[in-house]
Amino acid sequence: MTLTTINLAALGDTINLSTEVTGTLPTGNGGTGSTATTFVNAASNVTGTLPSANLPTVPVTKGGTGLTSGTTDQLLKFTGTTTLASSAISTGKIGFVNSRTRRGEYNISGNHGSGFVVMAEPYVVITPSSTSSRVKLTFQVLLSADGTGYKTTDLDIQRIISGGATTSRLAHSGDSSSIQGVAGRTFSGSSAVSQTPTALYTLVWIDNPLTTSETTYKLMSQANDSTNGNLYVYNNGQTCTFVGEEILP
Amino acid sequence: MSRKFGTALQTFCNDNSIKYRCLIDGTVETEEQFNNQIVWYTGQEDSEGLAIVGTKPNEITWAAVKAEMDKL
Repeated sequence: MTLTTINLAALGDTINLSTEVTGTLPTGNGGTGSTATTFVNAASNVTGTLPSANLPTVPVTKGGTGLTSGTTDQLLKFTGTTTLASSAISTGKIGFVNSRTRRGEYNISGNHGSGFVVMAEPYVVITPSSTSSRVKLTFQVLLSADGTGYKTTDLDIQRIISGGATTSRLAHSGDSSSIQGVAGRTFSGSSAVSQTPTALYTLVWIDNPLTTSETTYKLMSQANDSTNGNLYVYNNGQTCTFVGEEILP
Repeated sequence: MSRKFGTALQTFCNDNSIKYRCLIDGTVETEEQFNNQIVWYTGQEDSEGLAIVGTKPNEITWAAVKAEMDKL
């Protein structure tokens, strides 16, 4: 039965709802079953905008973040199984990129002595945006030789920090046993060699310059031979590329 | 592109009476290139293993090497 009206006249008295009605009206009787809440049908009876001040912070366990603010330019990171926080998490993305090419050979020629020489071209210049950045160097090198006798060559890298240190033979400076640098090549045994086939190498080196200053990288090479001849680095008829990429922290 | 210069230099110094070590940048076909595109080394290394820059042996002249190049 639906309650529609109360005929106070028929009851012969009045009812003060604010002072004379107590208890709860069960939901089965059209009430809320509560002394303090108002029954709301969220599907049909809710309109308007709920002020953000009335919104709670939703915890991670309920699909929220549990956060009311974050740090600019940072990412959300799980710091526990049910907690999130701003984090300068590494994205591994590439920053500064520089590349140059070289067509035209260098000839390390001679019949005595040794020692690394620096090739002026190609070089790459990187200005890291952070001291935590790393620099990935990728370079193609063409090698060939002619002459007589046993010939080997070693390759390494020189790093020049503007206003700072110059480090020659990076691979060797990091590990003194790396006497052949980043690559070594033997062209012959004891027999004569003549215009050996050109060998193409693509080499990769990751450097940690620990600077935000302009940093220049150049290739170094050493010809180890006790006999007369020529060691050719790069080639007159082909183009080689030297690429430097800043890997952001 | 010719490698005649390197070959001529090698031939010219084949008897090892002349000791040399150099870095040649690109092709050398003229006296100007001979004077400007070659770094000469002593054959010795510094404490970091770098070749020490020196001077051209007096016996190695453009005329002498060019004469060998012309024979090739």
